[in-house]
Amino acid sequence: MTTAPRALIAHAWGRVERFAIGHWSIITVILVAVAYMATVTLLHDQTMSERDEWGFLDYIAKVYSQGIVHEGETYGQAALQQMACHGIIPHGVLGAACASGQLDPALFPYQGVNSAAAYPPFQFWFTRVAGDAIALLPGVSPLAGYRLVGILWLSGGLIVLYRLARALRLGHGPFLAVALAFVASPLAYWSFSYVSTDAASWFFGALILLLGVRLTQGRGRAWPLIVIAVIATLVKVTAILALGLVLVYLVVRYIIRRRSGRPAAAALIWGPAIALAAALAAQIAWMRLQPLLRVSDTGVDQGISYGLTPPALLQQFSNFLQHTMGTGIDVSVAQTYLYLPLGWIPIVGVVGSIFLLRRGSRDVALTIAVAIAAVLAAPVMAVVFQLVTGSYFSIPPRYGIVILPGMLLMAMQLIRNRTTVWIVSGYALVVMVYGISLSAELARLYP
Amino acid sequence: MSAGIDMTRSSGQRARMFLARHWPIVVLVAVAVVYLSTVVLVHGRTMSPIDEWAYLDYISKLYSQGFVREGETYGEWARTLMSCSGQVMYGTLGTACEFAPGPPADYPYFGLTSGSAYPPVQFWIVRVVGDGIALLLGVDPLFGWRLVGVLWFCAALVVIYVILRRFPVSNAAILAIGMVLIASPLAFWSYGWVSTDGPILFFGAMLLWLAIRYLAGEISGWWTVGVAAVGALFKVTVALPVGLVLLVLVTAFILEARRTTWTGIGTRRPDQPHRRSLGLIGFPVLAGVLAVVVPVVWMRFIASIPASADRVDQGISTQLELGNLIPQLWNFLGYTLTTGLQWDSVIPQYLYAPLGWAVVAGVLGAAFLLRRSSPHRALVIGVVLAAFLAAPVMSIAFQLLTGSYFYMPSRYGIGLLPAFLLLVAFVLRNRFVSWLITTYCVGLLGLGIALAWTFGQNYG
Repeated sequence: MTTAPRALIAHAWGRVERFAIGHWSIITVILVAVAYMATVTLLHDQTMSERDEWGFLDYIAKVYSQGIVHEGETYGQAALQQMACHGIIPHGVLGAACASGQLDPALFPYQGVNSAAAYPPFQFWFTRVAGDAIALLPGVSPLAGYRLVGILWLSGGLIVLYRLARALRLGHGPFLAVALAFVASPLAYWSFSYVSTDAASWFFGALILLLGVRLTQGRGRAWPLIVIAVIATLVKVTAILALGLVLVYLVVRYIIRRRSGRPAAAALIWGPAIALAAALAAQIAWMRLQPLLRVSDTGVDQGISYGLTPPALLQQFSNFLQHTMGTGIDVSVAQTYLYLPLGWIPIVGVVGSIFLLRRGSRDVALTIAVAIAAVLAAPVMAVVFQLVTGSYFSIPPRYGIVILPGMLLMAMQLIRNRTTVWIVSGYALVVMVYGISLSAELARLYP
Repeated sequence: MSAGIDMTRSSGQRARMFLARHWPIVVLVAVAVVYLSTVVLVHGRTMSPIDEWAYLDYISKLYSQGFVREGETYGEWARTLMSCSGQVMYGTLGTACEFAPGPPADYPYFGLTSGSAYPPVQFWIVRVVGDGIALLLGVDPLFGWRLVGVLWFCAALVVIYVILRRFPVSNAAILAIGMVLIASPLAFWSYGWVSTDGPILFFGAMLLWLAIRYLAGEISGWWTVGVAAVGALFKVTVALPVGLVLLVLVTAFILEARRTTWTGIGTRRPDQPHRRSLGLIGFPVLAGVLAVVVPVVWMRFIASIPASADRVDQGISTQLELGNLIPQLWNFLGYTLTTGLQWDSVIPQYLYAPLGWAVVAGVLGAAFLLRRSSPHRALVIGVVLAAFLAAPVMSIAFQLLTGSYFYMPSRYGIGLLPAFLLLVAFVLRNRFVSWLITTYCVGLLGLGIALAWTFGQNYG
């Protein structure tokens, strides 16, 4: 009687040990990511991130009472209070003076109209429910709870990225180094430690790519891709860039295989093509629905729209590859020069892989597709915006987060020695230590 | 026909064979000559803001006084040039053109030149060769002097080509890499005007070539020492490629140490029984010492015979702090090729971003890919270390030697570029991509000429 449970425990422990050894890289990355991002997040005070967190927080505050934020709707009192009393980084408090009475939305930026109505409500529901649950933990405020939801998206995306790396037979060391570099990046800092719609985009971008890669390996079906495509697009429309990447990947793979006389099934292309069509249909349906939910004619003019000129378009070609990973919010106290080599990682990955490309390389099609996406996604998006909305705004580099998993895989596949793994990982840890000090500094500067 | 030449082939056949084998360098030199000469001739008399005024003043005084001394004021010719032609970005400064030349005190830095920091060697070359070119082409001597830069550039191109030819690099890749260099903002500013950075690219390439040959046991290490000493007479930044060579050779020494049977000071290298192991350390250290001592001796000499007690304060000096060193780590790798000046208002920097990508992908890609079995391990490790360490080490050296610090201009890394480009060649295997790069660079050449023309219109 006494030996049986002990043997069971030993057996179970052996399995845990084998699991931990077999997946040491992702376990390490998740532990570091959770510890770092939770620390950074909990160090934040109530000051909001410039990346529209104000709009998102207002949305989250309203979901239980009204389900959705309507077009033309003004900010609720709670959000107005937060702007008046805590403000946003780096602009500080805006609008009316901090007071306990009723605040007039018209005194606030954009006449107090919330632009987050452009988003379907799903992700804000998720953030609200999950965030309220997290806030049950002692010492965690609801705001911190909402922000900590970002860690779920970060970890989920990292696990998917790990699955991708395994599917492509990439080593644990390179995964560790590149994944830690991502966690340390200013992109991760501003996307996962504040409420941000880029957080979910990271996860869905990786997931869409994984489903595409699994299709080519004969280990998946098309329908999950189609379902995820619709969900991801309704979370944030930039998911369409990831679908475009997968479609290009499968088309290039088909062409290469046909030209080299290997078996190539054109049927494989249908899955991503239908997924892309479904995503577009979902987005169009949402855009049609939105005006019907309008509550006022006050439109939000963020003052960032202008016509798409040829120089503006040219600028977009270098946007995502150059800036997505290494560019954060310009906070004067941030030692941004620390981040520069982080931004080099996607560049080395994508450009280095394309330089080295030879006939018969392991995954020629994926390398070509990622390179095409890295360069063309932003300008294509700019043109589409101009065509659909009639105006253009400079595409923020962070929108590239949906295709970043592909770029990171390119960097992983180049790393062939341990010294590089240790140097990149060590550098990432140094940047994380700096990130923690930055949070403390920001909390001090923006009370 | 003389003896020693293959009698069975006509000179036409030999030329065709030479072209068939070496067409990339022929094309590159031709493109460089046409492009850079066009830039020189199109931008007019306007000077480059990268101290060209001081260099031109130096050159104009050579025949009468040999060199320029500390505390010396700009000559009448140079002051007139500043009044009437001015500098790109800043326009004309000092006395109005119709009254030029005005008194020195009316000009920037009270008309005191900072040119005395340089030994006169390179300016003599520019003056003599440039006067010859001007005579030959029938242009103003100013343009003749500037065209000397084109010769330096072509000489550097040829040495870089010779280096690349030692490795299995495709013709398409050689062409692409050469075009990246020609089309860069660095080439535009260093060879479209009189610049002291121009010759350093050549010395960087020479030092790299000699080090590679010495490492392979083909030549003596004294060559490196000699070229370092000569280069140090041009500009102190030649110490950077000397430092790179030091890092490469010392790395080779460390990697070889295990396979070396030690028998005292005369121990031979494992793969080169006629070369000493300690030479791998001795020669580059000697070269490094000379690269520092030669400029220091010059500074001492020039300080002993001042023309006046007045000194130039360019107002860019500060004290070195730890925070200054971190951005220096990324300075040369990130910016040397692509940062000329803050010229965003004229041509946006993002158009040149892919040039920077190529260098970063080449140097870091080679580091990422490096395996234990690679025959080029010492070379790759040495170059990567130099890429990161050169600027911070130089900052520290400046602080120690001069007692003050200024942000190292990225162009100071020009002597490291041949090594960076070699690593790009290691990684650039795809022909289609090579041709894509060449095509993109052709577009940049058009931009460069347009930019030079704009300067000619706006400032001339």
